[in-house]
Amino acid sequence: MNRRTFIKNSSLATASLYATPLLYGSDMNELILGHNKKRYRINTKWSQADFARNPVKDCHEMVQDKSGRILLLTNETKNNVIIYDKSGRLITTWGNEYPGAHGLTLFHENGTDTLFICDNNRHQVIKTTIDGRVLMTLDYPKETGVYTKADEYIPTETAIAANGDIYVADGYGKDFIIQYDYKGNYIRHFGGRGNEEKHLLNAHGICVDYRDKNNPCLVVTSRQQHAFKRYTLNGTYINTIPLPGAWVCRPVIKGDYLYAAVLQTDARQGDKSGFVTILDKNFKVISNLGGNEPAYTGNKPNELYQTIKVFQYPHDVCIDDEENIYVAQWNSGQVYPYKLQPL
Amino acid sequence: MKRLAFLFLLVITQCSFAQQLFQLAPPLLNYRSVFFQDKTTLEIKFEQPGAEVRYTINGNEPTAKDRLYTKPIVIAGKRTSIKAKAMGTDFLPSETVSVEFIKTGKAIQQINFTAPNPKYTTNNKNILNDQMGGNTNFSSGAWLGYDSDTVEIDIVLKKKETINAVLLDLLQNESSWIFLPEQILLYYYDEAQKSYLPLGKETFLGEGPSPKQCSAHEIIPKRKVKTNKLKLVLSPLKKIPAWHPGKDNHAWIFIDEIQVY
Repeated sequence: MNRRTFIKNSSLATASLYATPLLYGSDMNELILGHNKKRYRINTKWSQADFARNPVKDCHEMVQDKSGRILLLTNETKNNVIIYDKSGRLITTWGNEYPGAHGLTLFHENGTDTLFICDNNRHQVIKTTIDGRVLMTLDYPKETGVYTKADEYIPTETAIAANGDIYVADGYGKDFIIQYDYKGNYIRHFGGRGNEEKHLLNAHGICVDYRDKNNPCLVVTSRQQHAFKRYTLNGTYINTIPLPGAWVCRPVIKGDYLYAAVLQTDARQGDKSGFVTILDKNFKVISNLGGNEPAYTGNKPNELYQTIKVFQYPHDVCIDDEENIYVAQWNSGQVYPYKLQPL
Repeated sequence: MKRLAFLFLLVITQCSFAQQLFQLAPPLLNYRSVFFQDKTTLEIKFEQPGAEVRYTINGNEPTAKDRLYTKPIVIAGKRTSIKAKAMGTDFLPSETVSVEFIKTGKAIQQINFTAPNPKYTTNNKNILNDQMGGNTNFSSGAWLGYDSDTVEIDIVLKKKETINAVLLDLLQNESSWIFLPEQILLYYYDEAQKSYLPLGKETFLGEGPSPKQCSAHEIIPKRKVKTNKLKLVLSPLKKIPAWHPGKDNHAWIFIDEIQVY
């Protein structure tokens, strides 16, 4: 082969190398994530924020306020709270004093939006107005008699009942759920570690479930046990929802469904193996976004695992008034949230 | 040059229309243990519409032309390396996952070993000859973990036999500071001299990073001896090499099974 033919051949080879996946791309079927009635298109470029001006570290949690805006909580103290419109345009930011910003819960208090932030580093829960003015700070719960210093208490999540009662999940501390009245007066604590079904291990998330109006309950994450555990609003254990293999984060209820980010799976720990799971009102897994097709053996789901590398370590989901899902991720290369639109 | 410019434009145009291509996650390999007596089965799980699993049993990288996984694979060979990959037209193929199945050897009476680090020890005296192993999770309870300078393992066979090979199943997980040992020495007990005499040796260089994997090593004796007592002396790396973030620290070794052939 002379030099000229060699160059010609190699440039053709290079061209086909570049062209093939892309031409192939145009023939591709569009990626649809999920199963059954819960299927979505994904937009990984939803956020229009400029990283140079509004950086994020871990994107921990998201909520939607009553005016439809999407709030993101990050442990980046340049802007702990980033507020977007639904199209991904950044509206405003606030907060520099939450280095351990982890949990974000919104509560409609007599028609006004209030926020509850759990800060891992400060060992505190902070209640603020929607624009960040501090209304109340809850320190470590000495009243329980089970904590001797603030360091033992690392709250990860709050849930607020309709009557204003505050439930704090000490998910990185001693795994107790601490219940307060709306003013922050201690009522009781339950959960904690142990060998009984009522105990928790890595109580990472909590929510109040009003889907069954006559029997409201608390749904609590026991992440290292790969399960949700249900309790009455007074803290009496009801039952366990096993999710084999799934490091499930906080439960988020919208309409009839329960949504949750799965940080990673047992099958591939430490290997960006997360996805999003959706359970129906009977707590049955019906869809996994980026995960395996749900299947049951008896009453227990088969092992859950990632099948498409869409997410790395998803940490929370937010479902807006149009049923879109926003996904915030931990330790995933400082990516902004993704948006998923239902089919 | 014109042609190149055209191709460049083609690439740009295609880019703007092309959809985001996602990679499939690797399939799940389900097995009880990689060690087995007569035969065993491997179940591969990957429930994703639009994707399939292709695999090889000869150590080659799986391609779209290799065997399509449809039902559990029956394994009976002495050492069988299986590699599997998920693929589908609308996705980038997954990374390859692999596992090596190993047939058990001569009957072992007992294996005594240096006390491991208390964090990675066991009450199971037969942990190195229980035919359970080959799972890369170092905290599964199947592994013995050492961060000492020397590890001694004494093997007693049920009867005197000719030794063809001694196999050790070790873990490589460098992000957790688990390396292969620097050296493995094999000795046999000589009745006449009433002492242990050298029978084989293997050294490892650890020059660059390797993937997280179970790593089975066979030490082949230089000569044929008949014995029922063998001794292994393993030397963990005393200094993690310079390319690793933990350089100069003491490395760990993890071992979960021994077979004698």
